[in-house]
Amino acid sequence: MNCKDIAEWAPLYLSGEIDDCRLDVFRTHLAGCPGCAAHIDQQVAVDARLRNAFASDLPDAAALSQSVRGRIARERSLGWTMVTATAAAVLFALVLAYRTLRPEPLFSAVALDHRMEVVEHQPRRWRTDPADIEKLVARFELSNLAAMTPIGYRLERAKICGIDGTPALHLVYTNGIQEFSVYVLGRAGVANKIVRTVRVGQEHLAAFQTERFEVIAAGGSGDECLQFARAAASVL
Amino acid sequence: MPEAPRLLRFALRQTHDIPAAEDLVQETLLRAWRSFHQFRMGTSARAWLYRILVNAFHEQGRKIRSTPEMVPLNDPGANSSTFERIEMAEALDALPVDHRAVLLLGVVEGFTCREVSEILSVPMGTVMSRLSRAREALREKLAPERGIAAGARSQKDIG
Repeated sequence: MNCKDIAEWAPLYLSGEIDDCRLDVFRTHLAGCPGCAAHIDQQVAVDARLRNAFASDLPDAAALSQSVRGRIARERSLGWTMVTATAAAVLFALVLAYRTLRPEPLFSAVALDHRMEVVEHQPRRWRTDPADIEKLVARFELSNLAAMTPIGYRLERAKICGIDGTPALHLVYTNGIQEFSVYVLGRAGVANKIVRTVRVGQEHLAAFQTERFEVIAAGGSGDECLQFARAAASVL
Repeated sequence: MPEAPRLLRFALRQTHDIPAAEDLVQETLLRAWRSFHQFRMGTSARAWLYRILVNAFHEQGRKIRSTPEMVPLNDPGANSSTFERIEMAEALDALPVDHRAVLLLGVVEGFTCREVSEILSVPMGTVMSRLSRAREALREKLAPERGIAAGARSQKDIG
């Protein structure tokens, strides 16, 4: 590896993507080449300064997020108004097509949330202490949380979040290999305790509704989601 | 929508226009909500959001405004970090938009070169060469007495 190679591979070195084999050769070259070592140091310093300058420069996006939630709510409302204006036969066909081709917005929101917060572990303020989790659960007036946990899994962490503009209790379970989400959203309506599975992209979900709650499980296979949804349905 | 502030920060640095940046982020979040079923398992959802934003930015073809950041001289809240940020913003804004994008994504937002390549839909080699040129150009634009020197290596563990 010569100085030209070092310059070429520097971005991968700085982003930590350089493979182990090249990393050893890279470091050996830097140890023996003050010019390249100084150049890399300068690039590290530029990065550090750039990161520091903008680290605390996060604009307030609360109003923007609120506006997006409003638009999502309006789109949902508009969608239903159009559908109800359609003749019964056409309506039936449309609903079928809609269900088949495009998942419900709530399920899309859950699938995205699970992917970002659980699969990709974006930094969030989770509660892991059982006493703290109990307090969150109490806010949703849930009881018998332990019975909602399928055999072979344990509750790992929880937090309150917003799903599609609705407050939700987000519970994360693990079997030691994989993590699963159960979202409990407050609602008021007719119960539909038939557990159904939904697929959003490649994400499997299972959901059911009681008069007071909408429960959606996400993660793993459809069977695993069903297991969580059925465990919750047996309690709620 | 926890990613919204970061998306907005990136959009602001790209557009230099607060209403345009907010429109862009709104459009990004709505598109993500409408098309999550198209998201590919095994890829980064965060990178997917930024790719939607970059695509929307290119589709809109908005004219980039060059409004400099300004801080009143008597602003009691202005401190050295404020001026550091302004100096950095000015140096960044002087870069070509493609070079600015790779620096913001790769350094400020912490994406890997591979993720930046996917977000911007350009080959890895292009990302690497743009990053090198952008870092060099930024270094030249920044005042040398403000810390671009050896010894800053400890700021990031690159080993």
